[in-house]
Amino acid sequence: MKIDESLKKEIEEEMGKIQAPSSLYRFAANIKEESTKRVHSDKPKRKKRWRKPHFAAAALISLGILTGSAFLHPTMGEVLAKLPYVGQVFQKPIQEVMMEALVNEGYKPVSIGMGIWQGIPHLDVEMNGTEEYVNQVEDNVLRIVTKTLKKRGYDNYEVKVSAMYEESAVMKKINKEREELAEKLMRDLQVEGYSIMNVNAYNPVVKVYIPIGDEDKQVEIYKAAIGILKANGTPKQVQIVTQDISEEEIKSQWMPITRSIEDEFFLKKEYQVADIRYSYKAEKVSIMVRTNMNSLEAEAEGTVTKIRKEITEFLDSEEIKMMTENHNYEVLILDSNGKAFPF
Amino acid sequence: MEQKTLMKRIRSGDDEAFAQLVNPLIEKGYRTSFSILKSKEQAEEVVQNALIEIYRNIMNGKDIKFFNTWFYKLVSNRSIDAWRKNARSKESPLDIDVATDKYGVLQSILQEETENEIKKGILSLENDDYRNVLILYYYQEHAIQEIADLLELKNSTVKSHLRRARIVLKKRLIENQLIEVSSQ
Repeated sequence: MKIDESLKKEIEEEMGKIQAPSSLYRFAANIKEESTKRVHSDKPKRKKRWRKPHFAAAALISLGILTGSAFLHPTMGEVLAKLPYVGQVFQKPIQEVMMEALVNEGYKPVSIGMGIWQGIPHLDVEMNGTEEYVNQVEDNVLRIVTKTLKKRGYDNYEVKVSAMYEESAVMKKINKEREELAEKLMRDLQVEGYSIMNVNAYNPVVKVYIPIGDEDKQVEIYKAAIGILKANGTPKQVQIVTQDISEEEIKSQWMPITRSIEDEFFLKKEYQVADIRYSYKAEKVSIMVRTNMNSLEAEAEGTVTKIRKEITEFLDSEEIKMMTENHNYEVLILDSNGKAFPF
Repeated sequence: MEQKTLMKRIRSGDDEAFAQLVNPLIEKGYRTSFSILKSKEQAEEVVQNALIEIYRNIMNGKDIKFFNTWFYKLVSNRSIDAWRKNARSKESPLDIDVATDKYGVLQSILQEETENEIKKGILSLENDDYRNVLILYYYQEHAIQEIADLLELKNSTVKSHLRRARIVLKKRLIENQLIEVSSQ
């Protein structure tokens, strides 16, 4: 039909004006790393089990999730368990509490991940077992997890239960080889006298992380890395990446603290928090809390004051000051457009 | 390189093969998502999540026969899911099956919308369902039943939207002809 062809052509012409961002192509090139960072997407056949269909995590919030594995690790849990109680506000990390509740009921959760999708935290409870097993236990697991969240007064979340993603035997072997290669390269470069912060050998291009202070040695280190890989019989491309050690150290120090803040403010509707970002500088750490409100809303001032008071009281407590070594900080509360509130 | 071969390479750990497989499809996928969501950030997020889902399905050994079709369907589905979350309870009077409504207030709304369509492009249509039907039918070449399922509309509604688009385009062509005639 001629009209159909014309309509198709018109739509295609309009679409032609839209350009895909280059970041998507970079994302595809780095898919393995991106995949291990993200919480699992929903699978179509599980649609009917969700409270709301189709979960997809947009961004991981910095809850210690970004250290190596994507989910709460037992050792991190030990560190976090030592976080102090401050009044009634900040408590044990909620993921740890949920894990404990499930274990107490005889279940074997592998991990609980949390990501933010369109302002709502999505929790993914990964269980050890087959999909069939997960189908059987799902309702009970959801009941336990929801009860735990309700007890804290959390009311802003979506939950899903999934079977642990099992790597194939082939992939396990390949990943092990890549890990060993990264360790070897890091060791050999350090033996040659270079300061190496980390090596990532998961992708065709091996990334070698060095302190920003050694920027002038980039070419030298690059050549050394290429040489080591060739001699090892594993020639690969290499990229040298500089990192600011002091920023990384501060970030690592603050991780359990920012985690506590995020639990409290993301999981409660009353605060209307859309996003929390940080900047880690030697002079000060900035905590930027973006809300869904604007300054003209009736409850804005009260809510903003409450958020600021609670974060400040927490950070000024003796225990937290010791953890951060009394590092300077600032708290900025922003409206839905990213502008600071006038109060 | 053939898609089957690329998928085999991906399963054996070759990330480059994944980029080779999906790069030719990213542009169209993003355009669809952006047109539905009208937001660069959300469209990018949806496509990223779709890429991860695709990667995991390949790694899990899923047998994919028509990769391109599957890719675009996944992106369309996820975009509509996101759009649905955005829409909340907003309801446009034009969501009503046009074929059954002939009189009243709706007429004036339709009239205004038709005039807007003549002036602006299809992608700037205010009625989300109508716009999404056109994108999914003409750009992504989904079948009517698929579109009805995806958007949770009746088949007759989808057909009405398509019928209306054809009428509008005809009207526009006639208007353009009149303009050409009068300027001679």
